Amino acid sequence: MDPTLLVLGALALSGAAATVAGCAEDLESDVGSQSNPNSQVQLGPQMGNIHRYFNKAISGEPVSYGLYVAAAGAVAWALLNMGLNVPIALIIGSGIAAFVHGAYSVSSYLGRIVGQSQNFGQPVYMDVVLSHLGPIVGHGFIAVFCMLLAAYLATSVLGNPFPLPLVALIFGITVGAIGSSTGDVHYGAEREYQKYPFGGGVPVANQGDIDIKAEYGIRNGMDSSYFCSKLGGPLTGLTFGLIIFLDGWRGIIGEIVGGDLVSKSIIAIVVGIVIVAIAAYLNRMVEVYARKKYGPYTDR
Amino acid sequence: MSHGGGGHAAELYPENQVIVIGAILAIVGMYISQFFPQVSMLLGGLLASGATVAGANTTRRVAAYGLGTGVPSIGMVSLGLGAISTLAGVLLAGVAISQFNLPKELLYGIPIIVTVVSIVLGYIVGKLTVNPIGMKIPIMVESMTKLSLMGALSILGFCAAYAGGFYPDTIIEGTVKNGVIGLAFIAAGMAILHPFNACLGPNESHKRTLLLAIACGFITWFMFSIAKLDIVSSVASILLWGIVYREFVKQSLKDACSVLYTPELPKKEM
Repeated sequence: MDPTLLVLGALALSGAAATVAGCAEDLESDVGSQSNPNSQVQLGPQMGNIHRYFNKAISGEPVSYGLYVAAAGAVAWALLNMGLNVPIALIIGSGIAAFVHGAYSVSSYLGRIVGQSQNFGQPVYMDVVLSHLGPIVGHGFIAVFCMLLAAYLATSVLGNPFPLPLVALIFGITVGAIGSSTGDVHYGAEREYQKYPFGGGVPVANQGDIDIKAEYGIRNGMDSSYFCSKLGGPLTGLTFGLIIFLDGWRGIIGEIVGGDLVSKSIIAIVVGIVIVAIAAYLNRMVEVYARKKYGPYTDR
Repeated sequence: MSHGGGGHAAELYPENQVIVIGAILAIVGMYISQFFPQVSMLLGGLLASGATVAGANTTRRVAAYGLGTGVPSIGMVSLGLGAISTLAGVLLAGVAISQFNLPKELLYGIPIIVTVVSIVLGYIVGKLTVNPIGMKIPIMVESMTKLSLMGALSILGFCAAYAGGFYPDTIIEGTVKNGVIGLAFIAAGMAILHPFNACLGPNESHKRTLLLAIACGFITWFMFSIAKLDIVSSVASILLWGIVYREFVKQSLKDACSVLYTPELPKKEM
Protein backbone atom coordinates (compact mmCIF):
# COMPACT_ATOMS: atom_id res chain seq x y z
CA MET A 1 0.00 0.00 0.00
CA ASP A 2 1.05 3.58 -0.55
CA PRO A 3 3.03 4.66 2.55
CA THR A 4 1.47 8.15 2.51
CA LEU A 5 -2.00 6.58 2.77
CA LEU A 6 -0.85 4.44 5.68
CA VAL A 7 0.49 7.51 7.45
CA LEU A 8 -2.78 9.37 6.87
CA GLY A 9 -4.74 6.41 8.22
CA ALA A 10 -2.52 6.16 11.30
CA LEU A 11 -2.91 9.89 11.84
CA ALA A 12 -6.70 9.63 11.66
CA LEU A 13 -6.68 6.64 14.01
CA SER A 14 -4.50 8.41 16.57
CA GLY A 15 -6.76 11.48 16.29
CA ALA A 16 -9.77 9.28 17.02
CA ALA A 17 -7.96 7.54 19.90
CA ALA A 18 -7.01 10.95 21.32
CA THR A 19 -10.65 12.08 21.14
CA VAL A 20 -11.87 9.07 23.10
CA ALA A 21 -8.96 9.36 25.53
CA GLY A 22 -9.65 13.05 26.22
CA CYS A 23 -13.32 12.40 26.87
CA ALA A 24 -12.71 9.41 29.16
CA GLU A 25 -9.93 11.22 30.99
CA ASP A 26 -12.10 14.23 31.75
CA LEU A 27 -15.05 12.17 32.97
CA GLU A 28 -12.72 10.07 35.12
CA SER A 29 -11.22 13.14 36.75
CA ASP A 30 -14.74 14.51 37.39
CA VAL A 31 -15.81 11.34 39.21
CA GLY A 32 -12.85 11.75 41.53
CA SER A 33 -12.81 15.60 41.64
CA GLN A 34 -9.14 15.54 40.70
CA SER A 35 -6.85 18.54 40.11
CA ASN A 36 -8.63 21.91 39.87
CA PRO A 37 -11.94 21.24 41.67
CA ASN A 38 -10.06 19.22 44.25
CA SER A 39 -8.89 22.16 46.36
CA GLN A 40 -12.51 23.27 46.79
CA VAL A 41 -13.59 19.76 47.80
CA GLN A 42 -10.69 19.77 50.23
CA LEU A 43 -11.85 23.10 51.72
CA GLY A 44 -15.49 21.96 52.00
CA PRO A 45 -15.41 20.35 55.46
CA GLN A 46 -13.40 23.27 56.86
CA MET A 47 -16.27 25.56 55.84
CA GLY A 48 -18.80 23.26 57.47
CA ASN A 49 -19.87 21.46 54.30
CA ILE A 50 -19.68 17.75 55.03
CA HIS A 51 -19.71 16.22 51.56
CA ARG A 52 -19.82 12.93 49.70
CA TYR A 53 -17.43 13.80 46.88
CA PHE A 54 -14.54 11.49 46.08
CA ASN A 55 -11.37 13.38 47.00
CA LYS A 56 -8.85 12.00 44.50
CA ALA A 57 -5.77 14.05 45.23
CA ILE A 58 -3.18 12.21 43.10
CA SER A 59 -1.12 15.24 42.17
CA GLY A 60 -2.33 17.06 39.03
CA GLU A 61 -3.82 15.22 36.08
CA PRO A 62 -0.73 15.61 33.86
CA VAL A 63 1.59 13.99 36.38
CA SER A 64 -0.79 11.18 37.31
CA TYR A 65 -1.63 10.36 33.69
CA GLY A 66 2.06 10.51 32.88
CA LEU A 67 2.52 7.77 35.45
CA TYR A 68 -0.30 5.53 34.23
CA VAL A 69 0.52 5.76 30.54
CA ALA A 70 4.26 5.42 31.15
CA ALA A 71 3.68 2.33 33.29
CA ALA A 72 1.35 0.90 30.64
CA GLY A 73 3.88 1.78 27.92
CA ALA A 74 6.80 0.15 29.71
CA VAL A 75 4.85 -3.06 30.32
CA ALA A 76 3.46 -3.17 26.78
CA TRP A 77 6.91 -2.51 25.35
CA ALA A 78 8.35 -5.41 27.34
CA LEU A 79 5.55 -7.72 26.19
CA LEU A 80 5.96 -6.64 22.56
CA ASN A 81 9.67 -7.42 22.75
CA MET A 82 8.74 -10.84 24.08
CA GLY A 83 6.75 -11.40 20.88
CA LEU A 84 3.20 -10.98 22.17
CA ASN A 85 0.75 -9.57 19.62
CA VAL A 86 0.04 -5.85 19.73
CA PRO A 87 -3.56 -5.53 21.03
CA ILE A 88 -3.01 -7.99 23.88
CA ALA A 89 0.24 -6.30 24.91
CA LEU A 90 -1.47 -2.89 24.94
CA ILE A 91 -4.42 -4.24 26.94
CA ILE A 92 -2.24 -5.95 29.55
CA GLY A 93 -0.16 -2.76 29.91
CA SER A 94 -3.30 -0.67 30.38
CA GLY A 95 -4.61 -3.21 32.89
CA ILE A 96 -1.51 -2.86 35.05
CA ALA A 97 -1.89 0.93 34.84
CA ALA A 98 -5.55 0.64 35.88
CA PHE A 99 -4.52 -1.38 38.93
CA VAL A 100 -1.96 1.27 39.91
CA HIS A 101 -4.59 3.95 39.34
CA GLY A 102 -7.05 2.22 41.67
CA ALA A 103 -4.43 1.79 44.39
CA TYR A 104 -3.45 5.46 44.25
CA SER A 105 -7.11 6.60 44.15
CA VAL A 106 -8.24 4.76 47.28
CA SER A 107 -5.17 5.85 49.21
CA SER A 108 -5.71 9.49 48.30
CA TYR A 109 -9.39 9.43 49.33
CA LEU A 110 -8.64 7.79 52.67
CA GLY A 111 -5.61 10.00 53.29
CA ARG A 112 -7.29 13.31 52.51
CA ILE A 113 -10.56 12.56 54.32
CA VAL A 114 -8.95 11.10 57.43
CA GLY A 115 -6.44 13.97 57.39
CA GLN A 116 -9.23 16.38 58.37
CA SER A 117 -11.74 13.98 59.83
CA GLN A 118 -11.26 14.59 63.56
CA ASN A 119 -11.16 18.40 63.42
CA PHE A 120 -14.06 19.01 61.05
CA GLY A 121 -16.22 15.91 61.55
CA GLN A 122 -15.97 14.63 57.99
CA PRO A 123 -16.81 10.91 58.01
CA VAL A 124 -15.21 8.34 55.70
CA TYR A 125 -17.93 7.11 53.35
CA MET A 126 -16.97 3.59 52.40
CA ASP A 127 -19.88 3.32 49.96
CA VAL A 128 -18.46 6.32 48.08
CA VAL A 129 -15.08 4.60 47.85
CA LEU A 130 -16.55 1.34 46.61
CA SER A 131 -19.08 2.79 44.17
CA HIS A 132 -16.74 5.40 42.67
CA LEU A 133 -13.76 3.12 42.24
CA GLY A 134 -15.30 1.28 39.29
CA PRO A 135 -16.02 4.36 37.14
CA ILE A 136 -12.63 5.87 38.03
CA VAL A 137 -10.63 2.79 37.08
CA GLY A 138 -12.84 2.02 34.08
CA HIS A 139 -12.67 5.47 32.52
CA GLY A 140 -8.98 5.58 33.38
CA PHE A 141 -8.44 2.28 31.56
CA ILE A 142 -10.12 3.61 28.40
CA ALA A 143 -8.07 6.81 28.50
CA VAL A 144 -4.80 4.97 29.11
CA PHE A 145 -5.47 2.37 26.44
CA CYS A 146 -6.30 5.01 23.81
CA MET A 147 -3.22 7.08 24.63
CA LEU A 148 -1.08 3.97 24.56
CA LEU A 149 -2.51 3.10 21.14
CA ALA A 150 -1.69 6.60 19.90
CA ALA A 151 1.83 6.30 21.33
CA TYR A 152 2.27 2.90 19.69
CA LEU A 153 1.12 4.31 16.33
CA ALA A 154 3.49 7.25 16.73
CA THR A 155 6.50 4.99 17.30
CA SER A 156 5.66 2.22 14.83
CA VAL A 157 3.96 3.96 11.88
CA LEU A 158 4.40 7.72 12.18
CA GLY A 159 8.17 7.50 12.62
CA ASN A 160 8.56 9.00 16.07
CA PRO A 161 12.23 8.30 16.89
CA PHE A 162 11.82 7.91 20.66
CA PRO A 163 11.19 4.59 22.45
CA LEU A 164 7.62 3.61 23.40
CA PRO A 165 7.84 4.12 27.21
CA LEU A 166 9.13 7.67 26.74
CA VAL A 167 6.53 8.59 24.08
CA ALA A 168 3.86 7.08 26.34
CA LEU A 169 5.03 9.27 29.22
CA ILE A 170 4.82 12.41 27.08
CA PHE A 171 1.41 11.44 25.66
CA GLY A 172 0.11 10.76 29.16
CA ILE A 173 1.26 14.17 30.35
CA THR A 174 -0.44 15.72 27.29
CA VAL A 175 -3.81 14.04 27.81
CA GLY A 176 -3.72 15.02 31.48
CA ALA A 177 -2.91 18.61 30.60
CA ILE A 178 -5.74 18.87 28.06
CA GLY A 179 -8.19 17.18 30.41
CA SER A 180 -7.22 19.53 33.17
CA SER A 181 -7.26 22.76 31.14
CA THR A 182 -10.37 22.11 29.00
CA GLY A 183 -12.42 19.71 31.09
CA ASP A 184 -12.12 21.25 34.54
CA VAL A 185 -13.78 24.45 33.35
CA HIS A 186 -17.02 22.51 32.99
CA TYR A 187 -16.84 21.05 36.44
CA GLY A 188 -14.94 23.38 38.79
CA ALA A 189 -16.57 26.72 39.27
CA GLU A 190 -19.70 25.88 37.32
CA ARG A 191 -20.76 22.71 39.09
CA GLU A 192 -19.44 23.07 42.62
CA TYR A 193 -20.79 26.63 42.88
CA GLN A 194 -24.06 26.14 41.09
CA LYS A 195 -25.93 28.23 43.64
CA TYR A 196 -23.92 31.36 42.76
CA PRO A 197 -24.63 33.46 39.62
CA PHE A 198 -22.93 32.37 36.39
CA GLY A 199 -19.82 34.21 35.29
CA GLY A 200 -18.81 35.60 38.66
CA GLY A 201 -15.82 33.35 39.25
CA VAL A 202 -15.14 32.10 42.76
CA PRO A 203 -14.37 34.97 45.17
CA VAL A 204 -12.23 34.04 48.17
CA ALA A 205 -15.18 34.51 50.53
CA ASN A 206 -17.09 31.72 48.77
CA GLN A 207 -14.23 29.24 48.63
CA GLY A 208 -15.07 25.90 50.18
CA ASP A 209 -18.80 26.72 50.19
CA ILE A 210 -19.48 23.95 47.70
CA ASP A 211 -22.87 22.48 46.80
CA ILE A 212 -23.46 19.28 48.71
CA LYS A 213 -27.02 18.63 47.52
CA ALA A 214 -27.73 17.13 44.13
CA GLU A 215 -30.82 17.34 41.95
CA TYR A 216 -31.95 14.34 43.92
CA GLY A 217 -30.38 13.38 47.26
CA ILE A 218 -26.84 14.16 48.33
CA ARG A 219 -24.38 14.95 45.59
CA ASN A 220 -21.44 12.71 44.87
CA GLY A 221 -18.77 12.42 42.20
CA MET A 222 -20.99 10.38 39.91
CA ASP A 223 -23.46 13.28 39.61
CA SER A 224 -20.62 15.53 38.51
CA SER A 225 -19.50 13.03 35.92
CA TYR A 226 -23.06 12.61 34.66
CA PHE A 227 -23.40 16.38 34.35
CA CYS A 228 -20.07 16.70 32.53
CA SER A 229 -20.71 13.79 30.18
CA LYS A 230 -23.14 16.02 28.28
CA LEU A 231 -20.70 18.75 27.26
CA GLY A 232 -17.48 18.83 29.26
CA GLY A 233 -16.17 15.38 28.43
CA PRO A 234 -16.99 15.34 24.71
CA LEU A 235 -15.58 18.87 24.32
CA THR A 236 -12.36 17.84 26.00
CA GLY A 237 -12.09 14.90 23.66
CA LEU A 238 -12.86 17.06 20.67
CA THR A 239 -10.22 19.57 21.72
CA PHE A 240 -7.56 16.95 22.12
CA GLY A 241 -8.51 15.16 18.92
CA LEU A 242 -8.45 18.44 17.00
CA ILE A 243 -5.04 19.30 18.41
CA ILE A 244 -3.60 15.98 17.23
CA PHE A 245 -5.45 16.13 13.92
CA LEU A 246 -4.81 19.78 12.99
CA ASP A 247 -1.21 19.52 14.10
CA GLY A 248 -0.78 16.54 11.82
CA TRP A 249 -2.36 18.37 8.90
CA ARG A 250 -0.11 21.35 9.52
CA GLY A 251 2.87 19.19 8.71
CA ILE A 252 1.16 17.38 5.85
CA ILE A 253 0.15 20.61 4.07
CA GLY A 254 3.76 21.78 4.33
CA GLU A 255 4.86 18.42 2.97
CA ILE A 256 2.49 18.63 -0.03
CA VAL A 257 2.89 22.31 -0.99
CA GLY A 258 6.49 23.07 -0.08
CA GLY A 259 9.61 22.20 -2.05
CA ASP A 260 12.73 22.19 0.10
CA LEU A 261 12.92 21.84 3.87
CA VAL A 262 12.89 25.58 4.62
CA SER A 263 9.76 26.36 2.59
CA LYS A 264 8.03 23.26 4.03
CA SER A 265 8.77 24.47 7.55
CA ILE A 266 7.67 28.03 6.79
CA ILE A 267 4.37 26.81 5.33
CA ALA A 268 3.79 24.59 8.37
CA ILE A 269 4.45 27.52 10.72
CA VAL A 270 2.17 29.87 8.75
CA VAL A 271 -0.63 27.28 8.71
CA GLY A 272 -0.17 26.86 12.46
CA ILE A 273 -0.43 30.60 13.06
CA VAL A 274 -3.58 30.81 10.91
CA ILE A 275 -5.20 27.95 12.87
CA VAL A 276 -4.34 29.59 16.21
CA ALA A 277 -5.72 32.96 15.01
CA ILE A 278 -9.01 31.40 13.86
CA ALA A 279 -9.33 29.44 17.12
CA ALA A 280 -8.64 32.55 19.24
CA TYR A 281 -11.24 34.56 17.32
CA LEU A 282 -13.87 31.81 17.67
CA ASN A 283 -13.15 31.49 21.39
CA ARG A 284 -13.64 35.20 21.92
CA MET A 285 -16.94 35.12 19.98
CA VAL A 286 -18.27 32.24 22.09
CA GLU A 287 -17.20 33.93 25.33
CA VAL A 288 -18.87 37.24 24.47
CA TYR A 289 -22.02 35.45 23.32
CA ALA A 290 -22.22 33.38 26.54
CA ARG A 291 -21.73 36.39 28.81
CA LYS A 292 -24.37 38.40 26.96
CA LYS A 293 -26.89 35.60 26.93
CA TYR A 294 -26.50 34.00 30.38
CA GLY A 295 -24.43 36.23 32.65
CA PRO A 296 -25.64 38.98 34.94
CA TYR A 297 -22.37 40.80 34.32
CA THR A 298 -22.51 43.38 31.52
CA ASP A 299 -20.02 45.92 30.15
CA ARG A 300 -19.73 48.78 32.57
CA MET B 1 2.24 25.57 61.64
CA SER B 2 -1.26 24.28 61.94
CA HIS B 3 -2.86 25.48 58.73
CA GLY B 4 -3.94 23.55 55.65
CA GLY B 5 -0.73 21.66 55.06
CA GLY B 6 -0.38 20.14 58.50
CA GLY B 7 2.55 17.78 58.74
CA HIS B 8 4.11 19.17 61.89
CA ALA B 9 2.55 16.44 63.95
CA ALA B 10 4.85 14.45 66.18
CA GLU B 11 7.40 12.44 64.25
CA LEU B 12 7.62 8.72 64.84
CA TYR B 13 11.22 8.62 63.70
CA PRO B 14 13.58 11.60 63.35
CA GLU B 15 13.95 12.73 59.72
CA ASN B 16 17.73 12.32 59.58
CA GLN B 17 17.49 8.75 60.79
CA VAL B 18 15.06 7.91 57.97
CA ILE B 19 17.30 9.66 55.43
CA VAL B 20 20.42 7.77 56.50
CA ILE B 21 18.64 4.41 56.52
CA GLY B 22 16.99 5.09 53.15
CA ALA B 23 20.28 6.16 51.55
CA ILE B 24 22.20 3.15 52.90
CA LEU B 25 19.48 0.71 51.77
CA ALA B 26 19.37 2.20 48.27
CA ILE B 27 23.16 2.18 47.86
CA VAL B 28 23.44 -1.40 49.13
CA GLY B 29 20.66 -2.30 46.67
CA MET B 30 22.67 -0.81 43.78
CA TYR B 31 25.74 -2.90 44.68
CA ILE B 32 23.57 -6.02 44.91
CA SER B 33 22.17 -5.21 41.43
CA GLN B 34 25.71 -4.78 40.13
CA PHE B 35 27.28 -7.92 41.57
CA PHE B 36 24.29 -10.28 41.54
CA PRO B 37 22.35 -9.32 38.38
CA GLN B 38 20.16 -12.43 38.63
CA VAL B 39 18.47 -11.02 41.77
CA SER B 40 18.81 -7.37 40.76
CA MET B 41 15.07 -6.71 40.62
CA LEU B 42 14.18 -8.83 43.63
CA LEU B 43 16.63 -7.24 46.07
CA GLY B 44 17.78 -4.09 44.24
CA GLY B 45 14.19 -3.01 43.56
CA LEU B 46 13.14 -3.74 47.13
CA LEU B 47 16.01 -1.72 48.58
CA ALA B 48 15.56 1.13 46.06
CA SER B 49 12.09 1.71 47.49
CA GLY B 50 13.89 2.71 50.70
CA ALA B 51 15.03 5.88 48.91
CA THR B 52 11.48 6.80 47.87
CA VAL B 53 10.26 6.30 51.45
CA ALA B 54 12.97 8.61 52.77
CA GLY B 55 12.16 11.14 50.02
CA ALA B 56 8.48 11.04 50.91
CA ASN B 57 9.38 11.64 54.54
CA THR B 58 11.38 14.75 53.62
CA THR B 59 8.55 15.94 51.37
CA ARG B 60 6.30 15.73 54.41
CA ARG B 61 8.52 18.09 56.35
CA VAL B 62 9.15 20.73 53.69
CA ALA B 63 5.67 20.68 52.12
CA ALA B 64 4.06 21.25 55.51
CA TYR B 65 4.97 24.92 55.06
CA GLY B 66 2.58 25.22 52.11
CA LEU B 67 -1.13 24.71 51.64
CA GLY B 68 -0.87 21.43 49.80
CA THR B 69 -0.91 22.80 46.26
CA GLY B 70 2.89 22.73 45.99
CA VAL B 71 3.46 19.13 47.04
CA PRO B 72 3.48 17.64 43.51
CA SER B 73 5.92 20.32 42.38
CA ILE B 74 8.31 19.37 45.17
CA GLY B 75 8.24 15.75 44.06
CA MET B 76 8.92 16.75 40.47
CA VAL B 77 11.79 19.05 41.49
CA SER B 78 13.26 16.23 43.51
CA LEU B 79 13.16 13.81 40.59
CA GLY B 80 14.34 16.46 38.11
CA LEU B 81 17.43 17.08 40.20
CA GLY B 82 17.76 13.33 40.67
CA ALA B 83 17.62 12.58 36.94
CA ILE B 84 20.30 15.17 36.16
CA SER B 85 22.58 13.97 38.98
CA THR B 86 22.14 10.33 38.03
CA LEU B 87 23.06 10.85 34.39
CA ALA B 88 25.86 13.26 35.31
CA GLY B 89 27.28 10.92 37.94
CA VAL B 90 27.12 7.85 35.71
CA LEU B 91 28.72 9.62 32.74
CA LEU B 92 31.31 11.51 34.81
CA ALA B 93 32.90 8.26 35.93
CA GLY B 94 33.14 6.99 32.35
CA VAL B 95 34.61 10.25 31.05
CA ALA B 96 37.08 10.49 33.93
CA ILE B 97 38.39 7.00 33.15
CA SER B 98 38.75 7.55 29.40
CA GLN B 99 40.16 11.09 29.58
CA PHE B 100 42.49 10.97 32.59
CA ASN B 101 43.54 7.31 32.46
CA LEU B 102 42.14 6.64 35.91
CA PRO B 103 41.85 2.99 37.04
CA LYS B 104 38.74 1.12 35.92
CA GLU B 105 37.85 0.41 39.54
CA LEU B 106 36.46 3.96 39.70
CA LEU B 107 33.30 2.56 38.11
CA TYR B 108 32.54 0.75 41.35
CA GLY B 109 32.20 4.15 42.99
CA ILE B 110 29.37 5.34 40.73
CA PRO B 111 26.69 5.24 43.48
CA ILE B 112 28.98 7.37 45.69
CA ILE B 113 29.71 9.80 42.81
CA VAL B 114 25.96 10.13 42.11
CA THR B 115 25.37 10.76 45.83
CA VAL B 116 27.96 13.53 45.91
CA VAL B 117 26.77 15.15 42.67
CA SER B 118 23.15 15.14 43.84
CA ILE B 119 24.03 16.64 47.23
CA VAL B 120 26.03 19.43 45.56
CA LEU B 121 23.29 20.09 42.98
CA GLY B 122 20.55 20.08 45.60
CA TYR B 123 22.52 22.47 47.80
CA ILE B 124 23.05 24.92 44.89
CA VAL B 125 19.37 24.81 43.88
CA GLY B 126 18.33 25.20 47.52
CA LYS B 127 20.53 28.32 47.84
CA LEU B 128 19.04 29.71 44.61
CA THR B 129 15.48 29.25 45.90
CA VAL B 130 16.39 31.22 49.01
CA ASN B 131 18.44 34.03 47.51
CA PRO B 132 17.19 35.31 44.15
CA ILE B 133 13.75 33.68 44.38
CA GLY B 134 13.24 34.56 48.03
CA MET B 135 11.32 31.60 49.47
CA LYS B 136 11.10 32.10 53.21
CA ILE B 137 11.15 28.49 54.33
CA PRO B 138 13.76 27.95 57.04
CA ILE B 139 14.58 24.34 56.09
CA MET B 140 14.65 24.97 52.33
CA VAL B 141 18.35 24.43 51.58
CA GLU B 142 18.58 21.38 53.79
CA SER B 143 15.40 19.87 52.34
CA MET B 144 16.33 20.51 48.70
CA THR B 145 19.65 18.76 49.32
CA LYS B 146 17.90 15.75 50.84
CA LEU B 147 15.23 15.66 48.13
CA SER B 148 17.83 15.82 45.38
CA LEU B 149 19.77 12.99 47.03
CA MET B 150 16.69 10.81 47.41
CA GLY B 151 15.53 11.54 43.85
CA ALA B 152 18.93 10.51 42.48
CA LEU B 153 19.18 7.38 44.62
CA SER B 154 15.68 6.21 43.72
CA ILE B 155 16.23 6.77 39.97
CA LEU B 156 19.63 5.08 39.96
CA GLY B 157 18.34 2.36 42.30
CA PHE B 158 15.42 1.39 40.10
CA CYS B 159 17.42 1.83 36.87
CA ALA B 160 20.25 -0.36 38.21
CA ALA B 161 17.70 -2.95 39.33
CA TYR B 162 16.08 -2.89 35.89
CA ALA B 163 19.29 -2.95 33.85
CA GLY B 164 21.19 -5.25 36.21
CA GLY B 165 24.04 -2.94 37.16
CA PHE B 166 25.15 0.66 37.32
CA TYR B 167 28.01 0.73 34.82
CA PRO B 168 27.61 3.57 32.28
CA ASP B 169 27.10 1.14 29.36
CA THR B 170 24.53 -0.89 31.30
CA ILE B 171 22.54 2.17 32.38
CA ILE B 172 22.65 3.91 28.97
CA GLU B 173 21.81 0.78 26.96
CA GLY B 174 19.45 -0.79 29.48
CA THR B 175 17.37 2.15 30.66
CA VAL B 176 18.11 5.41 28.81
CA LYS B 177 17.93 4.23 25.19
CA ASN B 178 14.74 2.24 25.75
CA GLY B 179 13.07 5.02 27.74
CA VAL B 180 12.59 3.10 30.99
CA ILE B 181 14.29 6.01 32.78
CA GLY B 182 11.07 7.95 31.98
CA LEU B 183 9.14 5.43 34.07
CA ALA B 184 11.78 5.73 36.80
CA PHE B 185 11.32 9.49 36.76
CA ILE B 186 7.54 9.56 37.01
CA ALA B 187 6.93 6.44 39.12
CA ALA B 188 9.56 7.26 41.72
CA GLY B 189 8.37 10.88 41.63
CA MET B 190 4.83 9.83 42.45
CA ALA B 191 6.11 7.55 45.21
CA ILE B 192 7.92 10.56 46.72
CA LEU B 193 5.16 13.16 46.33
CA HIS B 194 2.01 11.09 46.79
CA PRO B 195 2.20 9.96 50.45
CA PHE B 196 2.15 13.44 51.93
CA ASN B 197 0.01 14.87 49.13
CA ALA B 198 -2.63 12.27 49.96
CA CYS B 199 -2.41 12.38 53.74
CA LEU B 200 -2.03 16.11 54.39
CA GLY B 201 -4.44 18.00 56.60
CA PRO B 202 -4.72 19.09 60.21
CA ASN B 203 -5.13 15.49 61.42
CA GLU B 204 -2.24 14.11 59.36
CA SER B 205 -0.25 11.48 61.24
CA HIS B 206 3.30 10.41 60.58
CA LYS B 207 2.37 6.75 60.92
CA ARG B 208 -0.19 6.85 58.10
CA THR B 209 2.06 8.91 55.83
CA LEU B 210 4.96 6.50 56.37
CA LEU B 211 2.76 3.44 55.77
CA LEU B 212 1.53 4.94 52.53
CA ALA B 213 5.10 5.88 51.58
CA ILE B 214 6.18 2.26 52.00
CA ALA B 215 3.15 1.07 50.00
CA CYS B 216 3.97 3.56 47.21
CA GLY B 217 7.60 2.41 47.19
CA PHE B 218 6.48 -1.20 46.81
CA ILE B 219 4.02 -0.42 44.01
CA THR B 220 6.82 1.38 42.15
CA TRP B 221 8.95 -1.74 42.60
CA PHE B 222 5.98 -3.78 41.30
CA MET B 223 5.73 -1.63 38.15
CA PHE B 224 9.43 -2.18 37.42
CA SER B 225 9.17 -5.91 38.13
CA ILE B 226 6.32 -6.23 35.65
CA ALA B 227 8.15 -4.10 33.08
CA LYS B 228 11.14 -6.41 33.44
CA LEU B 229 8.77 -9.43 33.21
CA ASP B 230 10.35 -10.78 36.39
CA ILE B 231 7.70 -13.07 37.85
CA VAL B 232 9.31 -13.78 41.23
CA SER B 233 9.80 -10.13 42.12
CA SER B 234 6.36 -9.20 40.73
CA VAL B 235 4.72 -11.67 43.10
CA ALA B 236 6.95 -10.66 46.01
CA SER B 237 6.34 -6.94 45.45
CA ILE B 238 2.57 -7.25 45.10
CA LEU B 239 2.36 -9.40 48.25
CA LEU B 240 4.41 -6.95 50.31
CA TRP B 241 2.43 -4.05 48.84
CA GLY B 242 -0.82 -5.77 49.83
CA ILE B 243 0.30 -6.25 53.42
CA VAL B 244 1.39 -2.63 53.88
CA TYR B 245 -1.59 -1.16 51.99
CA ARG B 246 -4.01 -3.20 54.11
CA GLU B 247 -2.31 -1.83 57.22
CA PHE B 248 -2.67 1.73 55.85
CA VAL B 249 -6.39 1.25 55.16
CA LYS B 250 -6.96 -0.25 58.61
CA GLN B 251 -5.07 2.59 60.30
CA SER B 252 -7.03 5.20 58.28
CA LEU B 253 -10.37 3.71 59.21
CA LYS B 254 -9.27 3.58 62.85
CA ASP B 255 -8.22 7.25 62.84
CA ALA B 256 -11.38 8.54 61.11
CA CYS B 257 -14.01 10.22 63.27
CA SER B 258 -16.60 7.82 61.85
CA VAL B 259 -16.91 5.35 58.99
CA LEU B 260 -20.29 5.27 57.28
CA TYR B 261 -21.65 2.88 54.66
CA THR B 262 -24.87 4.78 53.93
CA PRO B 263 -25.51 8.09 52.19
CA GLU B 264 -26.39 10.21 55.20
CA LEU B 265 -24.87 13.49 56.34
CA PRO B 266 -24.10 13.97 60.02
CA LYS B 267 -26.26 16.62 61.70
CA LYS B 268 -24.64 20.05 61.82
CA GLU B 269 -24.01 21.52 65.24
CA MET B 270 -25.05 25.13 64.97
